[in-house]
Amino acid sequence: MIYALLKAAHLTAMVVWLAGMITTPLALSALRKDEARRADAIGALRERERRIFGPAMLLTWALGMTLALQGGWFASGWIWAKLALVLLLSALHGVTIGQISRAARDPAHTPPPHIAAISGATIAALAVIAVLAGLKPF
Amino acid sequence: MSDPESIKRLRLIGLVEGCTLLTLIGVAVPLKHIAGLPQLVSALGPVHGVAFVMYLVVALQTVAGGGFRAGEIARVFAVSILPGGTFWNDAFLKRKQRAAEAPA
Repeated sequence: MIYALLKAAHLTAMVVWLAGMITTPLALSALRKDEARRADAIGALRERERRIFGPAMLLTWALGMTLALQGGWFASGWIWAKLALVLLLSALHGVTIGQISRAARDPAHTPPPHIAAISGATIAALAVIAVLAGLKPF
Repeated sequence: MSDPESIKRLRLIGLVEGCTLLTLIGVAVPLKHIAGLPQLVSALGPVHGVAFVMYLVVALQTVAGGGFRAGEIARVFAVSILPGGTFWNDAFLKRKQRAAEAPA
C-alpha cells in the first residue's frame, strides 16, 4: 500500500516536472524574437521554476530513489538505463534554468536557437523511460 | 553566470548530505562495530544514499546552467565523498551565490 502511494506521488511529481521541461524551452524559444515581452515572461518563467518545476524535480528524484530501494530494483539493468536518462534530463533542466537566469540578469541576452530541442529530447527520453519502467526488459 | 536559486538549493542539500554522512560514520558505524547495534546503520544508510544522489543531481543541474570553471565543477562533486566536505565547500558556494545575485 505504501509502495503504491509512493509510486502515485512519484508519477505526479514526474508529470509536473516534465511538463516544465517540455513547455519552458518552447517558451524561451518563442521569446527569442519577442523582445517587448521578454522581461515579464522571463520573470514568470523564473517564478514557475522556483515554485513548481524545481521542487517537482527534487520530489521525483527523492521518491524514485525511495521506490527503487524499497522494490530492490537496483539489481535490475533497466533501472540504471532509466537513471542515466533522468540524469540527462536533470542536466538539460540545468541548462534551461541557466538560460532563464542569464536572461533575467541581462535583458539583451537571447536564448540560443537550439533551446527548443530540449523539449523534443524530453519527450523522447520520456517515451524510453515509459518503456523501461513499464516492461522492465532487462 | 550561475543561477543563484540553484546554488542556494545545492547549499541546502549539501548540508543535509553532510549531516547524514557525518552521523553515519560518526555515530551509526561506531555503534554497529563497538556496541553491536546495527539498527542505526540500516536506517540511516538508505537515507544518506538518497541525500547523496540528490546532491549529485542538484550539483549536475547547477553546473549545467553555466558559470562554473572546470576546477570548480570538480570541487563541487569531490566534496560529496569527503566527510564534512560539503560544510567546507559551503563558503565557496555562498560566494558564488552572492556573485550571481549581484546586479549585472
